[in-house]
Amino acid sequence: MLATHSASLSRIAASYESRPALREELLQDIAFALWRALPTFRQESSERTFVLRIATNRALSHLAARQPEKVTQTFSALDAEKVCVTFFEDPAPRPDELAARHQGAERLQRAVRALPLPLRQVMVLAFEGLDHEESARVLGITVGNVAVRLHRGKNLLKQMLGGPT
Amino acid sequence: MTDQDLDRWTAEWQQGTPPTADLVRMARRERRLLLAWIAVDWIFGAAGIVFAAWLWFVLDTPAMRFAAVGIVVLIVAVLAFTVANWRGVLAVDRDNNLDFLAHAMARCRARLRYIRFGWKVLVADLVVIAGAMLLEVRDEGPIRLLGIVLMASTATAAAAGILWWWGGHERRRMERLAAMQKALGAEQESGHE
Repeated sequence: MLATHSASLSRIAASYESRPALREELLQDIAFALWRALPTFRQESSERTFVLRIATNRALSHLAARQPEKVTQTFSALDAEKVCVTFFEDPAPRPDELAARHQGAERLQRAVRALPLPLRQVMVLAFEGLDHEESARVLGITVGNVAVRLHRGKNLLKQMLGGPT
Repeated sequence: MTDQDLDRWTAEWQQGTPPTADLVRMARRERRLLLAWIAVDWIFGAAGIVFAAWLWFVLDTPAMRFAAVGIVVLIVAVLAFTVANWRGVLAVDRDNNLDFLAHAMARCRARLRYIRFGWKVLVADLVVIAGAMLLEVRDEGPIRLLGIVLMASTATAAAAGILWWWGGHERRRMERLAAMQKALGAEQESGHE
């Protein structure tokens, strides 16, 4: 299970912590929490929901234990980094395309980190493929509330990213 | 705004996968670290008990017996907390976010209570140390008094320093948890507006 969700968990850690050393610490914390919780997984929810719930809980714990990081980069600076990203699946993208995609993703990740926590949680879970109901179960809120937060999150992200890249 | 935005961002998000981490290795490393922490607690506890036994059986004066009892009481209090704390640390991971936050706050409050208890134990320990020193002076004279005072002051200062730092750390954690709970709860209340 850990190997299957490795990429997803790495992205979640990155959405809560930008400092590499602390991000690694958070990821390690999540990995251990999952490892401990695995024997209690009873298929009451999907494996993905189970994994993301534990990861999100650990991320909250991480935020509570440390000084919040200072935002050093504004989004006006980010706007200067706008890049053209190809969104079609390409079995063998060129190196410059790969770099552009990576920059676009990095920019999105920074914007997500700048979102208020309630909106960030919902956006990250949506990006990771959870539907409203699953997100509601992870966060302990209603489905309607997930929809409202998602709407607000999308609006805010749109403002920050300034339209299609 | 359309869901095309969400689809586009989702695709972009998935492309931003960092280098794949070996999570199994990480989990094992974290487990080793945790076990090392727990082992250190028990090793220090065992060493303290051995030291108390040495005071009691080898030095064998009323003052040293007094000190030995004080040390054993402290060690038992610390180890009892250690066991309770480690059991609680990862016990509620499967809860949803809001329940998890509530449990995290409850654990934080328990640690703050324990720290307040620690200050009381420290004051009680000072009374014990003062009593032991009086007995020492009465029975043996002031020859070893300076050494005992130095040792007691160092140990007391170290314990007070740890309690001070830990108390501040826990209070800040509590403030952040409360802020998070308020933010997430407020969103929940206003979610259907």
